[in-house]
Amino acid sequence: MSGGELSGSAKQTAIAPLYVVAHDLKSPLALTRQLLLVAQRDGISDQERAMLLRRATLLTDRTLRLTSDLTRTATMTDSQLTVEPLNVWQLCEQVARDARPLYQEYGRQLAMSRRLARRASSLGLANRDYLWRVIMQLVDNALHYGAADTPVQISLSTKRGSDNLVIGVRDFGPAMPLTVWREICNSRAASPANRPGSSGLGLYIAHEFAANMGARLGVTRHRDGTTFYIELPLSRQLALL
Amino acid sequence: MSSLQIVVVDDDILMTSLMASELERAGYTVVAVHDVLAAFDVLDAQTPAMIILDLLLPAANGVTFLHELRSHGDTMDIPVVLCTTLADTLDSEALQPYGVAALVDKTAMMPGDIARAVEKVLG
Repeated sequence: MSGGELSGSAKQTAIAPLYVVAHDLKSPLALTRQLLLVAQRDGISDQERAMLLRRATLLTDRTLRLTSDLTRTATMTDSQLTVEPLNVWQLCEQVARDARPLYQEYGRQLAMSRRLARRASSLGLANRDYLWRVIMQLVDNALHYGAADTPVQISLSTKRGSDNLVIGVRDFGPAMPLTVWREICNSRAASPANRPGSSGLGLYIAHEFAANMGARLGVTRHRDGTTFYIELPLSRQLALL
Repeated sequence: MSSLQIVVVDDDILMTSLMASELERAGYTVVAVHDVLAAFDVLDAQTPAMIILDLLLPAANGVTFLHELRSHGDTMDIPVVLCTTLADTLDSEALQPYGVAALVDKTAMMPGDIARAVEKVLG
């Protein structure tokens, strides 16, 4: 198992080529188009048509989320986002509820686990809207890269020896090649040649949002998959009471 | 008479499911897998009439798969139809040495195109 923090130099390296962005949008659009074309075909049952339209809608939501988040990264100023104490576990549960419909269409499970140090709370310092978006990008990413029939796990833990909360999104599947892992750690995952199957646009977005609220995005490579994680400070608000 | 077997290698389960339905409607038997390692597990057990291959796959990609496929005597003659969103950036003639018999643009294909491409290649 190996891990690393994603470098802060992503802004210069990751987003510039427009073809990279276009590439990440092509796949879901091509799939949505196929679903809609088949839905228009004569002779399919109402039930099958409803399923195709439901899948097309969920994929459109996901694509719009990607484009909307990308727009935000482009217009985000260098000043940090406002952060507030928030219940990170509840937010993780919210992401899981929001992501499950698409996961169900793919026949995948989204599991959750929490392992906090004694007396530690689930309160972290973050921007609620942007933390939701970061976790959702990681959950979308895991859906794409995990092997079929394997679960994705969202975990919340406290980092040993620090005052930080760690939200991990773990997928199970073929081990990420070391070269790809190194590229991601260097935040140069923007080229399709660097990241098989994707340009890493979702990871770029997650990195940008995390950095702008003072959090860190990192990656751990396992023999049987990958964990992307976001590390943010614990809120000490309750300790004052 | 048993129908010809086609192996579909695509990392997106929903896309694979659509392609499998199309091919089954056309009378083929389909084995769908979602990464290169799983594809080789299938090829270890049987020799399909054709492989439908996506190019961008997790871990090892489609190009790696094509190289490996051409390196073994028992798999080197299996025709491959490449079905990818990158079709507009590829030169189909340059792909022939890799055993790519047809190229289908995933962004422009119509339902039935994949089955038509298979029929054309298999004659």
